[in-house]
Amino acid sequence: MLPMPVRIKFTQKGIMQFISHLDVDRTMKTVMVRAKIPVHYTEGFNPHPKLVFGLPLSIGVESECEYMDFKVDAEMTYEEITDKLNAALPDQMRVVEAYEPKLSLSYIAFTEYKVFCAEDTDLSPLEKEEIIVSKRQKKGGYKDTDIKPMIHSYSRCEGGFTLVLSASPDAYLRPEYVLGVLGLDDCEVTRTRVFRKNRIGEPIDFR
Amino acid sequence: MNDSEMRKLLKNVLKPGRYTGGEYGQIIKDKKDIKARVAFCFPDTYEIGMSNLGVRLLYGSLNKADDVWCERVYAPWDDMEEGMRRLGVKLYAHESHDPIDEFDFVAFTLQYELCYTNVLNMLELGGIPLLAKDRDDSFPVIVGGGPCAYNAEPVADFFDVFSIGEGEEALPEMVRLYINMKDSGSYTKAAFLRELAKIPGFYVPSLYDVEYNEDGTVKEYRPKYDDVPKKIVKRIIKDMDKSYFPDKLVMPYIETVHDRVVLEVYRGCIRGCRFCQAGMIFRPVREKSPDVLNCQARTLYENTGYDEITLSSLSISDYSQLDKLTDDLLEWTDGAKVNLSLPSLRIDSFTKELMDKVTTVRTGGITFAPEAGTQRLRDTINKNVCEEDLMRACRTAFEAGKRSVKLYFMDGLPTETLEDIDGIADLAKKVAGEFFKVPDRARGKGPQVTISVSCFIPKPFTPFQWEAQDDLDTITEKQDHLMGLVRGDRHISYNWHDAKTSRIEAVFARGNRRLSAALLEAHKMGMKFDSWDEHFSYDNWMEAFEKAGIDPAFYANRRYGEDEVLPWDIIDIGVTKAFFLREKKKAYEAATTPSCREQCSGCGANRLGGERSCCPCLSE
Repeated sequence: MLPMPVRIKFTQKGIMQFISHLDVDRTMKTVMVRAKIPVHYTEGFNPHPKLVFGLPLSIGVESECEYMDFKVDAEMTYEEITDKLNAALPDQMRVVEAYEPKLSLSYIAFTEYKVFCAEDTDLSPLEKEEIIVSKRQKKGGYKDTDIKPMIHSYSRCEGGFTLVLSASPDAYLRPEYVLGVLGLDDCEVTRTRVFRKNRIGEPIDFR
Repeated sequence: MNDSEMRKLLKNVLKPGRYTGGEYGQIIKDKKDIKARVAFCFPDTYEIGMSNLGVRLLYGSLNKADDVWCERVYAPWDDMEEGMRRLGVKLYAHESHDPIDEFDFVAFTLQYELCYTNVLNMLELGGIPLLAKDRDDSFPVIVGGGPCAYNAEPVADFFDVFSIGEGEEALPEMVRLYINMKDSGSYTKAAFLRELAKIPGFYVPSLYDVEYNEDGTVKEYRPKYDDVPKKIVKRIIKDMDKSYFPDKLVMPYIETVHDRVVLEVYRGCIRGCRFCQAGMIFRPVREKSPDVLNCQARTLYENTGYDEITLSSLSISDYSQLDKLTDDLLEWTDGAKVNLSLPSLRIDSFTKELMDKVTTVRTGGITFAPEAGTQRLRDTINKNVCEEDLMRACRTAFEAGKRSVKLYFMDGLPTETLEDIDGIADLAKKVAGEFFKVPDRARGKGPQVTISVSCFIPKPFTPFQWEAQDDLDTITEKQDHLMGLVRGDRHISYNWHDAKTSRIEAVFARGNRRLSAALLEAHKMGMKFDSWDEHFSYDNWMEAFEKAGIDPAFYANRRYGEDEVLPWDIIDIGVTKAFFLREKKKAYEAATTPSCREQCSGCGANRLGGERSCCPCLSE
């Protein structure tokens, strides 16, 4: 049935970590034209291609799991969409898969990051009862905020450690606040997975 | 440079997307296949450089050869430069991230005089000695080109060679000569430059001795060897339909100044405004066919995904087949939701039909350039538009529901008096008055007429090349006078250009080799990005001139003698000095010269040849 809903999962590697969310959005609009994918336009006075992104990605963070939803005004297979997009994307963005979305992207509640650093990095600052940082507010300005409740978990792994942080719309924690607490500002970071909540509020895989 | 160095460097810069490279459409080659590498530098920010059509053309035409790799380089903004110096990172090219001193050629496009300090700063950031005489064969060949290369004397000491005229064919020839000499083992920089000087369109400044008269004017340019040409004739592309045109573009991630497809419709200009350098140096007129243009536009749209196409040329409405071209384009652009825009409309060709076709005109503001306030002065500069044309054009715009019109003028034009300044205010008021005569005008607020006034700069290769620029006091007086005339009129707003910037431009536009000393001083004082208000400092420039023993008035405010040897006499643009003298004389008589399409004025450019041109006797 048209328009056909599509979700793509894509990666952003290498120099793409320096490109802002807004610029990725602009890039995707031209990519759709180059890929000859007839994206469904919004109705109204100023029609434009409707692209809905999952989470914003901080500058300096790579990703293996970005999400974008759109609709297509033509019969196409998901494989065809994947192939066409990959031919039109910059080298350091790749579509991993395209599929029919079941759940809205707003269900994303947690994300996992892998932080590349010395394996004996001291993580004890994260064990404190309260972790107060000066956090930027949605409305602008900064406010001292306890980020402890937004750090779901962390565990050591080969080459560093992983972090699972809250990513719900009302409590989105950027990884750089946690890295700042640990004094790891120059580390390489990759977003590796995203989760939704199960019935008891614990992360389970999002798709 | 590796990823981790890049992270450190880009962590604290404001717009990292300026420095990453890695865009869709960039050209990556395997270094083991490459015999010559070119770092193509635009001496201003990424956003400006990426918008430049010339760079897009030359990047593609150099990369056509499998054994040549041309990459892009832009001037780093302050924050990035600070990081590069702190971390010891040399200026690098965007594709490979290799430092520019590892390249065979470092080429700069010289688009405006105020970029010269950036050129020096970029050389320094690249670890390359500034003066050509201080660079041995281990350093890249430094090449200059673009509009300022027509009088490159102020920067001649820093460059090994200048490419004069259009470079799509010339630059690949230059690189090929280099590869051949390297392959045969006969390469030394000196031997290469000597050979290069024999190819038309290449000016090697070190092969000429310059002598000066006691009064500081040039006495003579003398080739050092018999086989070095006395004059360098500019290169042109004869057939624009067959000229190189890129079928894809490098797509910036961040927003650039002209973030769209730019379609060059023709080169040259049939007008002959006497202040305009572009209208002279790009002669003769050579058009592209509408079918070729339509096809190129379609290809570029499909390969870039841009939603806007600009038709570009010096005066787009003078394109002989504009109706056919716009009709053909509109057949598919509307359906593809692509907007058409035209940057430069002449007053006498502005019609309702054209307005309806062009999105940017339909939705945006309207801009016209009468350039001068009275008919006498418009005739003097050969603008060839009259007040009635302007009123008709504005009426058309107002009838279509527009309320705001922007008018471009120049002050300080030769023979200008305060009466001509009065004329600017009168014209603006008449345009505003015209609004109220339109029965179905936009309701609500009244008209908004913006007058934007820049300062005349005498430019080489124009009939006004000998003229003096008004001194600062005179320009300020004229600006204040105009302010007094329009202040308090709620329908008119008035912008003017900073006369100090224009004065520095005038110094370098008509400068000779002695100015390189001032540029060195300016560079030592840390000057750069002079075309940016936040960087430009007139006082610093005066200090640099003083240290170098240069009197700026000698270059900007002096009337050059008609029989004086001009620093740019060594370049032959096709248009003759005799023509400029004739035009200068007519200017003082306020006599106009018809456009090339109406009648050939015998400028001389037709001897260069050219297809789909309106010049007579091209076969001669």
